[in-house]
Amino acid sequence: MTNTNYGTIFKNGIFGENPVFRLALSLCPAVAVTSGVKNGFLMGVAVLFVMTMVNATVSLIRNFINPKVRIPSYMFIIATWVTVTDQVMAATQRAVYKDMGLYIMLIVAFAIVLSRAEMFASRNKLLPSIVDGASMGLGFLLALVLLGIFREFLGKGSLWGHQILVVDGKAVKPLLIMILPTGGFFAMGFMMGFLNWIDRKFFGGTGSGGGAH
Amino acid sequence: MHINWEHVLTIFIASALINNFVFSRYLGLCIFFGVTKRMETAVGMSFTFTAVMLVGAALNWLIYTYVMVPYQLGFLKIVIFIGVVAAFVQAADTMMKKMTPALYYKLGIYLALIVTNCIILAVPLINADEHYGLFESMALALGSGLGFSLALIIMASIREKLELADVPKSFQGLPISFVLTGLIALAFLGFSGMITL
Amino acid sequence: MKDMLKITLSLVVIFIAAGLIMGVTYKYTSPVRFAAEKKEKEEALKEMAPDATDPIKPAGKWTNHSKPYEYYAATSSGRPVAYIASTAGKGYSSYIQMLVSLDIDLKIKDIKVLHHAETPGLGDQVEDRALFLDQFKGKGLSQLVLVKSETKENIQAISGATISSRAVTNGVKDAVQTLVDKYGAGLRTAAREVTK
Repeated sequence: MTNTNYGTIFKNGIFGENPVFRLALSLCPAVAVTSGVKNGFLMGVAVLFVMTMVNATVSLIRNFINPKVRIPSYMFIIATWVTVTDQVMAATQRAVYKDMGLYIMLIVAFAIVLSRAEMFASRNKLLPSIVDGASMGLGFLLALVLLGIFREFLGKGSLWGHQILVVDGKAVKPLLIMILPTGGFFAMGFMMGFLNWIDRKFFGGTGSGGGAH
Repeated sequence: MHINWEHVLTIFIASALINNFVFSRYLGLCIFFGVTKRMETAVGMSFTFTAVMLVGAALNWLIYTYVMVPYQLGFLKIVIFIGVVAAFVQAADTMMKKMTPALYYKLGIYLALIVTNCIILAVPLINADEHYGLFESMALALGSGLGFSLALIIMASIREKLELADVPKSFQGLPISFVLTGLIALAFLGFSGMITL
Repeated sequence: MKDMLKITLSLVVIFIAAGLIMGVTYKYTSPVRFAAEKKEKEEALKEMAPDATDPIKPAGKWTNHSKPYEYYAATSSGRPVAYIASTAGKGYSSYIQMLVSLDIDLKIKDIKVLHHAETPGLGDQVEDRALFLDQFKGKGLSQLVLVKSETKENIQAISGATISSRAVTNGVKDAVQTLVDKYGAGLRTAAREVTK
């Protein structure tokens, strides 16, 4: 790849192969931590960091890694960066970490991180790999924030912890179910269905995103 | 060592029903949606999962309690747990291939999927966080395994029926499965309050 | 054979490098983490007894629902101003963890819910100060009874969240009982000395 088109890589990560809505990979945290925008955002940032660092590391030492043990090596690199993220989060974001510490640690089991390391970073130079990791992470972050806004607004009538819907000085919670587990699945299902509909209606796609992994 | 059997039983029931991994902790979704298209694969996956989970939890408990805690290596738990599970699954794969080819033919493909699954890793992580003893860890592993199997089998039986339903085009496949899962999760919400953990 | 050696070497180098990265991060983040944890606890206690000038130190341990909890005597230049206890009540789907502080007359000064996993929208209303928690203020041990009707004397349950309301009331009652047992006698002695 000599003429690397960064724009294409970037667009691919955010829209074309959005990890959550299009590839339907790494769904667990997408449903689990999006009961609030803030949690979704911080989770997205954690994933963005891990993916960028993993792609950078794998790309840097791609010629050093023996192909026979490449998967264990990638796993180890991922686990290292997840540990780093976990430690930093635990030290600086105490309140959020109490809620979603487990999901931060489980970034290590994200199919999307491993698949980008294997499919992109191991074959490309440093800079394109970083861009790929960052845009995939950004796509993930956007999806989480979108779900977070949808769920927190409907479930609690607030955004980022600030009450927005207030009637007669009392907080209004329009659809409490949206912050329960059920709401997470509903939000995800409707969001996917909606995006498929847009894809079919306006872009002439097949509208069958999400191949179930 | 004093074992509080009541607590062990509580953990078992709570992890299977109340804190069901799929319906209230949202873990293992990739596999959940991946293998529930057919009942046969769902059942095969359930067996493999529960077995790996039990052994994985026991191995990781031993390592955590006797190696990581005494030497204050708790911060390495992510790396070590995933390493132990991967090594065990690899060993099981090789052994099954040699010793029981028939069983390997049936369950082998699921083993490959398991290595980097979040549930398998979540069980030892929860055990470590809660400082559970051996029997409590095993109860959590068994309960989670059975709870996950229950979820897979429920979902597989619904999805087999869903094949015949007339779903709007944009919702076919994953989206409708998500909405369905939401409905089952709503039913499972009824279990909360059964036991206070 | 040479291949084998190469593989091992590359893996070992990766392991060592990764171990170094993790070790360094742990070294720099763990003190921050422990300091933040400690500060969090101190601030929560300070909030319970704002008039205490001395640092609040644990005065002893007690057990509730077979789990260990602590109690504290908050002092201002050596003179007690409040008694604080951590406690929990068995709610609908979780143990509701709380801090309770009493003034020196052993009447409730403040309550803080630290952690719970009750049903959102129903059980989690016990965190609401105006709706529920404020009615505890100024109440003594004998008044801590949960009733379902309008009350000024006792504690009124939140409709739709009776179990969670009862959990808070019971948890608080256990803590108050403990503090009264520990400090009530001292209080009486002190009162007697004054009347002498």
